[in-house]
Amino acid sequence: MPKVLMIHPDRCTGCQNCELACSFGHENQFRPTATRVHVYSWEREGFSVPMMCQQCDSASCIKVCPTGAMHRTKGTTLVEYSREKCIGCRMCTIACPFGNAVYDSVTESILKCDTCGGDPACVQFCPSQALEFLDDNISTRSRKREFAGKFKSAFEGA
Amino acid sequence: MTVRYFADVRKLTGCGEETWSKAAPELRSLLQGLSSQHGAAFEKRVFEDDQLNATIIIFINGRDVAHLKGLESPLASDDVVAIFPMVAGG
Amino acid sequence: MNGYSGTILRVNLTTGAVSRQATDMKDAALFIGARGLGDKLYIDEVDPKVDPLSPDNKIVFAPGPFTGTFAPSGGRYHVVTKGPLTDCIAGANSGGSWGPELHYAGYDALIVEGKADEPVYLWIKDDVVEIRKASHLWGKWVPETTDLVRAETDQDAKVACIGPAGEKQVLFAAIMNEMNRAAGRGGVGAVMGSKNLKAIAVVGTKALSVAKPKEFKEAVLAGRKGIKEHPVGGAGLKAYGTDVLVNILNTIGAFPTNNFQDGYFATADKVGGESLSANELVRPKGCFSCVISCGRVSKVKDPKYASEGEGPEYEAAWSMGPDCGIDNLDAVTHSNHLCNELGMDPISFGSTLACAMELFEAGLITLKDTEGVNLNFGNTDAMVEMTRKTALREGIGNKLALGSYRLASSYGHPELSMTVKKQEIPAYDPRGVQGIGLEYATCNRGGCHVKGYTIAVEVLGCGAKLDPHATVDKPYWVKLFQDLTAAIDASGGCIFGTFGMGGDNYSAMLSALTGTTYTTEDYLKAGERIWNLEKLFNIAAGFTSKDDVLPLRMTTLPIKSGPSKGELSHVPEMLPEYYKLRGWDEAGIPTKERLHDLQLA
Repeated sequence: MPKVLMIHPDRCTGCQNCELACSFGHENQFRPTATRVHVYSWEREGFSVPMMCQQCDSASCIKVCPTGAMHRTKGTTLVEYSREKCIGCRMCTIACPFGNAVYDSVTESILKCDTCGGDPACVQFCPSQALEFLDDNISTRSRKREFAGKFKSAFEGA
Repeated sequence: MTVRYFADVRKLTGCGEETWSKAAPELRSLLQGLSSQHGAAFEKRVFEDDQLNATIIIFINGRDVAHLKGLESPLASDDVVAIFPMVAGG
Repeated sequence: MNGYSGTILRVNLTTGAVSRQATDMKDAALFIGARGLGDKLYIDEVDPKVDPLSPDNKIVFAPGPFTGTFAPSGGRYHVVTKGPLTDCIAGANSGGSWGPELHYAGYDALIVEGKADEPVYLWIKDDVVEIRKASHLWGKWVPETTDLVRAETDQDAKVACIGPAGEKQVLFAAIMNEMNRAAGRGGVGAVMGSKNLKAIAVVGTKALSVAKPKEFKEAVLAGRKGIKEHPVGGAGLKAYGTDVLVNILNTIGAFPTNNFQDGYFATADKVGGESLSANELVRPKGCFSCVISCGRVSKVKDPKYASEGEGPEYEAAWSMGPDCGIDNLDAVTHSNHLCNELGMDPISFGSTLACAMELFEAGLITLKDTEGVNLNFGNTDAMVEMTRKTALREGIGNKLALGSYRLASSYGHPELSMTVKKQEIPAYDPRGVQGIGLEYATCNRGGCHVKGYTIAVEVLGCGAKLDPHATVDKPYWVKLFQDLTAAIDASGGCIFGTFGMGGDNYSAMLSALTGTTYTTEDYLKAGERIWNLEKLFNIAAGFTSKDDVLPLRMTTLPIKSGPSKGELSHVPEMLPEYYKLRGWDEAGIPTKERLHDLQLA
């Protein structure tokens, strides 16, 4: 069963542990520009959103990549990045509608979430379950169930 | 006697305070009586095996029962008992 | 360098000079970082008799080795200067994410000296440091300042700034970062204001390396596990915030009420954490690398007090609440938002207002003085109005801005100010809890609870269960907490990490990170060293054991009602044993033997 990295912004406390885990997991050091996940926070409202590659089914980055460095192995969920094939044209960073692919001048490569080979570090380090790595077909169920609960309350109150 | 509940203990009792009129010569019997009333979840929260749960703090008239006689602390009918989970700092 | 960037940045606002020096790694080993290294840098350079608001004072901003790593709840920085409120060494600690950014920019400390001719802000992006004009920002509140500075520098810049309170040199003005986090006490914001320094914006992109990555990760995971399994660190603080303490302190009758005229407040529950969770809380918030999330994102919907922001913490809910005889949590939350936006310490503000209320009810402050505002205990609207007026130094707010000691003295009654070394003592009545009273009396930065938080063992039962009314062994515990806290502050850690981690965890993480081995004993000793360094500064600044005293009320007026009725503080009886344990003489002066043992002489 393929898995997907599910984001719950409503649970995010803005702690950035995911960014730290990502940087450390890839490089064994804490380099803020090495992280593939970024957390955006709004101070007045106290709301935070982690953003990372969504591994789109119909990925813009794959479509524009001239060398096939961005590609998908048939039958898998992950949008893979092959450094050897990358020419550094940065077309993917322009094409990604979410801005989730970025160019890193230190490693001279594209940074995008690779799910750490199937055991995402960010999920391990998130203290609030704002990031979950779930089977693809139940990943949206907790939010659906929560909203179903609101209907239940509304009808019970009527 | 008056029994007050705080933090998540309130969720187990559905209230912040109640009056307890049944006989309870010491804390253990009070907690047993409260457990009968509020159910298994409450009982599990306040007791651990046969002892007071290590993550619960109970005050009788403002004194931590750890400095009195623990579960055997005597109770009078006009006492105020406060039940807290271990919380906070700051 | 592992855990350290290796560079200290210096900015002279008088000359405009920007320079760098290497971090002294011998000092780093002895003093760790943040509070410790910041103290050492500051104390080596500044005359203890300096006027805190003069250009000759300096202000040091320092992250610790943990800051910027995933050491749990380890993203803090410390501000060191001489406090204008107290004239002691002032150290204020803050979370948020500004400290990590300074560390990523490549600095173990930033030293700011001199005074700019006109308002300026600093813009630090890794190696590029600019002093920029800030006249157009002067007068702006903290949120707007943050937005404007980011618009001129970088949308992702972290901004530490002062609000109008710091600009106007309110003696308890704070430095705010990420709008809602504060280096709060002692008037560090006023020092920034006195230098015409409005803000410091930082972007950092450099890496922080780790000596032993595998061991560090293991030590971090062990620490996180300890916190997660602890009822306070793992659940309590996230669910209720620090404000849950209201009902606990009130239950034991050590909840200071009406300027410490009593220790019990009948309607305390209305301003406690349970009420906050039910009413104003939006969601929990965590600082950089935090696993605890004690922060409260809050919103008041009542149109009269409508606002959004963060807090209140226990201290703020108390000082602007029951210490002023008030139990309206919407109003208190609103005032807390105002304190953040104006950049002012709510503890000193609320307690100063409570003092003003007592002076008013005694007929010493008149309606003429207050321009018609009734400063009676319980007057909620007056409290909200005075929050703004104090920060902006309007009307009688101009006097409140000096703190309760100077306020009460100006009316001939300094004994009505609940302060130690002129800093307002916080929300634990020392008559009802003996050990924290000793912490208040002996803390190097004046009346403070957090640098020696014995409440954890005297009330909360975390690790040990001590009788709050007893004095036996309290000096030992106060020293232990003071030393451990100093070491944790110096590491860049949040002390709430102690709800789940102990000296063993901290020393293991620090050792693996830096590559220097610290045993738990070494770690505590570093803390003791830092404590003594600060003490020596205070002695040179003119402080003696006569200043290690609580307000007279604490030893003369017994608590009137509630479970601690009749109790008084016994600090004078505990002080000699405390000095002895510290290796100080009867006058409270560190002996040559102890200083030598600590490598301070």
